[in-house]
Amino acid sequence: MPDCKEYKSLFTEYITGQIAPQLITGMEHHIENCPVCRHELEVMQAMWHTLAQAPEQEPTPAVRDRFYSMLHAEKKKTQTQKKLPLFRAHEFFSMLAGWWPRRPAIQFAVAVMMLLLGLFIGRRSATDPLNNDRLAALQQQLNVIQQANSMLLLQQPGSFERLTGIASSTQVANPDTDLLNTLFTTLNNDANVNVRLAAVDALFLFSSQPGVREKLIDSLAEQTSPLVQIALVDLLAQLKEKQALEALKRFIDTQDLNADVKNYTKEKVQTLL
Amino acid sequence: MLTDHNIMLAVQNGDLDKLGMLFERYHKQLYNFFLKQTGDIHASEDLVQDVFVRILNYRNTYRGDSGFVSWMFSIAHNSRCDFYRKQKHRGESLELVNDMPDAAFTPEDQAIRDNHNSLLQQALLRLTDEKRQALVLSRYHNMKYEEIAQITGCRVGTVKARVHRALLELTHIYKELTGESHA
Repeated sequence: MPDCKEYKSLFTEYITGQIAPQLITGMEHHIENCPVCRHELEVMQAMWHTLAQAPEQEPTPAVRDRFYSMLHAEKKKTQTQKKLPLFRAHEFFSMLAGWWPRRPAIQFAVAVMMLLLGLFIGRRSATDPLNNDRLAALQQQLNVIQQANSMLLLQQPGSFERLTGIASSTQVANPDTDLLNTLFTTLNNDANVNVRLAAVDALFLFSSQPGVREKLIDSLAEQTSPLVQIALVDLLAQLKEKQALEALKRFIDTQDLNADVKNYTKEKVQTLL
Repeated sequence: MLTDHNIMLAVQNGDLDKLGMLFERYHKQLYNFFLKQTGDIHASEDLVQDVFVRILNYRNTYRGDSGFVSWMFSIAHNSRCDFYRKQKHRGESLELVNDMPDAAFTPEDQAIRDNHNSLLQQALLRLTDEKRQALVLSRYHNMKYEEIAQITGCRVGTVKARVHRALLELTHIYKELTGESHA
């Protein structure tokens, strides 16, 4: 026979109609016979109904204006990018996505083939007396493929693929904004903590790229996992710059911050002062 | 009628105009979500804008596993957390916001009812962020506890406990504000 505590834990489900049907009779029987529980349930029900009386409010028309201005600006930006004749990143990635095999064994085989192809091209180029321009062009193409491959893997549902994507991204020589943004999206939103940790390490390698430091600082406030928080604290401490130090000081004051993370950050800040 | 999911897929595929349909469907709901959390008209409007900017920026991360609305509210939850963080950095408090006159609650012919609404809003603002958010999502957005747990990144049991405590505390605060507790 459930006790008052157990029945009380079902009150919110009862009020909101989410309670399992087979529990209703027992609950109602208990409420009839227990004045304390009955009172608490009545109080909760009354407030639940009072809340319903608050009418929905209308935002001002400015909200709509701002939204459509923002949308217009984004469309313009996208169109400008599409007009660039050099390289349409998204189309290229979609095309690659269509080709990318689903079975890991085949993915591995493709990777090995690409490696062999790379070695073959490398050997040929080494013996080719033509010029360094061709080599540079090939390197650039490989870089583009590596970026595309990393982006593709980072968007896969499996965490192993995303980890592989991060590892692959670290091999990219000057990553473009798309790749950096994808890495930041992974760092801030990925469901898997190991993937987020790997993203911290990868972004550390790119911390000299424009805008990366600022976004890393912003990301500290986004994180909820103590492990990722500590990894970012380490990273920001290693940057040894004023902006990062200030961010760490602010971070210490975050409400509900894990005590271990707080102490760790304090120690790091002390070593930097 | 196009489903939210199909519209979002079209947005992902580059048909950005379609986002306007989602804006028309949800901006008012989001506005009221933020208004209940902050009691501040301007901040709530900024936050609505922020959510749609993030939807656009993160459109490629949408997978639709748990539906568009849950995904949108997860983004709204993050925007709201950032808002509180920034507010704390600036040293502001919700009580200060709460003391500001609120144009949304002041038509003269509904003075008494509006007064109750205003007191209810003030009472809501005295709850902790977590309890208030759980209650608002459950009461005003008809969300199941599993959905709220997913959006706020906590366990279902925690959400239930928050809603339970929120209703009891709110009753106490509301009575205090309306003077009923001394009657």
